[in-house]
Amino acid sequence: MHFYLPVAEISVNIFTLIGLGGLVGVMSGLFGVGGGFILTPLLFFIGIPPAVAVSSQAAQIVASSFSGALAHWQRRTLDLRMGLVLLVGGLAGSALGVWLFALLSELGQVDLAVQLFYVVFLGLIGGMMFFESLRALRGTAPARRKRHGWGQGWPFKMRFRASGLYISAIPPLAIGFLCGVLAAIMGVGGGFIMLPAMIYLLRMPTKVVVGTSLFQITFVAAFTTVLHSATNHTVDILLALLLIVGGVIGAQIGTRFGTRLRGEQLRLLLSGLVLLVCGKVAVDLIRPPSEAYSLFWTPLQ
Amino acid sequence: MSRLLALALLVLACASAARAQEGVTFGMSLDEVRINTRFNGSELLLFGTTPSGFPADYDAVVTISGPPGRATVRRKDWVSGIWAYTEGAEFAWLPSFYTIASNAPLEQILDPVEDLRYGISLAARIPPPAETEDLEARADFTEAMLRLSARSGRLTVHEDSVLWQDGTLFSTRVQLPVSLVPGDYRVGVFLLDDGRVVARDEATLPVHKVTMQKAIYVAAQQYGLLYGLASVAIAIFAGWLASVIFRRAR
Repeated sequence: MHFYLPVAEISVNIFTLIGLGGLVGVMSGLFGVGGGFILTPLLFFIGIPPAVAVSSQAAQIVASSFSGALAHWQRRTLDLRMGLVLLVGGLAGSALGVWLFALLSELGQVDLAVQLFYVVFLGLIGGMMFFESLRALRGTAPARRKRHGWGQGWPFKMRFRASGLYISAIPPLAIGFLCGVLAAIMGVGGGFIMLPAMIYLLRMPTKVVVGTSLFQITFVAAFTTVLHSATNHTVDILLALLLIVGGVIGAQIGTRFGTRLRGEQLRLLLSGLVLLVCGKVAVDLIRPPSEAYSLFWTPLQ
Repeated sequence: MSRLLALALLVLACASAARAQEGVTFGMSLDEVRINTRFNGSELLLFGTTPSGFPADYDAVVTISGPPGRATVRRKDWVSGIWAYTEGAEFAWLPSFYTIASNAPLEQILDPVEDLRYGISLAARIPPPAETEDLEARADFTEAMLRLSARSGRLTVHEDSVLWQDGTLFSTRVQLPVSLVPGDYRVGVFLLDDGRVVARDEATLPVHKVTMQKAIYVAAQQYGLLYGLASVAIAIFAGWLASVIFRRAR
């Protein structure tokens, strides 16, 4: 069944979009990532203009991560205080990221920069998580609990009860900030960077990490949606709603599956997915393109 | 000097008077294209007759031109191990959509000078990338632009799609793709005799979004901030609704 999208200005199959939203929703509920790093390329693939795809899926991420965060809130696996501290850093970071993005656009190499960012950060994080979770599954990991995360002896100590941490607010602020910058440049929510940072740098318990990340992503994605709508006018609410219908259902399914899996297994799955996307982007950079030329059309005002 | 100028103007006036042409009587199956929720492309039937209404050995060319725009064509090259955009060319004027329908190949029925005068063929209609000075690069980028535009249905040429009946009536069917950019489309009809334009006429075909499609588009364009806030509110509500429904279902 075809449906004409008013802002994207193309006709799409409703069920394709609901299916894509569902796929990303499952990942969102399962791993606590927004799924932007997978949905963006998929939307390009079905012909949605890149600018519309990036900004409309931000609205979809708001819905699916809010639904997921609520589920975690009810299960008491959300560290609200940690989420707020990360959020403050994240919003400041994404403001800087948007500015950097504009700078890169002026230099004319923003596509390449984004692709390189994808390869480097997805590769680093995916690889790190992959080997760590593999070791943990084999039971050969160094005892994680005994090691402390960052910010033990630093000033501005705060008690994060849900995470069982009593650490300085500086490391979570810095991590939120860095993730915000990267997220704005890469056009994603930043969950796949946030999650490992919370696990490996802050040493938060895996159970709380997903809900807290979803909480933070809800706000960052809402901020991005409004920013894109106000400046680029590229949010297609009908496209977002179709993705949302699939996404919220998927997120609930994902959240339920997530409770049945162990943290190490979840991390292994997520790292596999991250490495897969990283590999795809890397291959696209190295392989000779089938069409060397591209055409970019803009209407005369 | 001023006498010379007056003479030139006189010559020009005479020339244009001598070239005064007749119009073409033609009709279209649509007087507008409405883009609604179910829009998935459209077909336009155009039909017309010779100015005299009597059989004549004319050729007919029909063009439809969408809202104007400009384009950048960029090329990827192998730079230290990766494929990255290096060079590009700017096409200062490229319509969102342009199609040519005729009863025979243009080069057989259209005089090149007349083509330049009326801007009918793709080569005459679309200016080359002016800022690209290297002629070879200019040809490469133009060829790439034509290839990509043909593939996406932006520029199409149908050299056998106009049909004549008894040398008096002509008709053609034009496929309007789903990717139509809203705006005023210019329909041009040219009747040719031995390569020269003997009659021509124009019409406007408005393409616009209607009902919900229009309301959403206008809101997104004119009230971006409010529209963004509303989108977030809708998304939050949808997320909440889903979690309520799923809690009940458990």
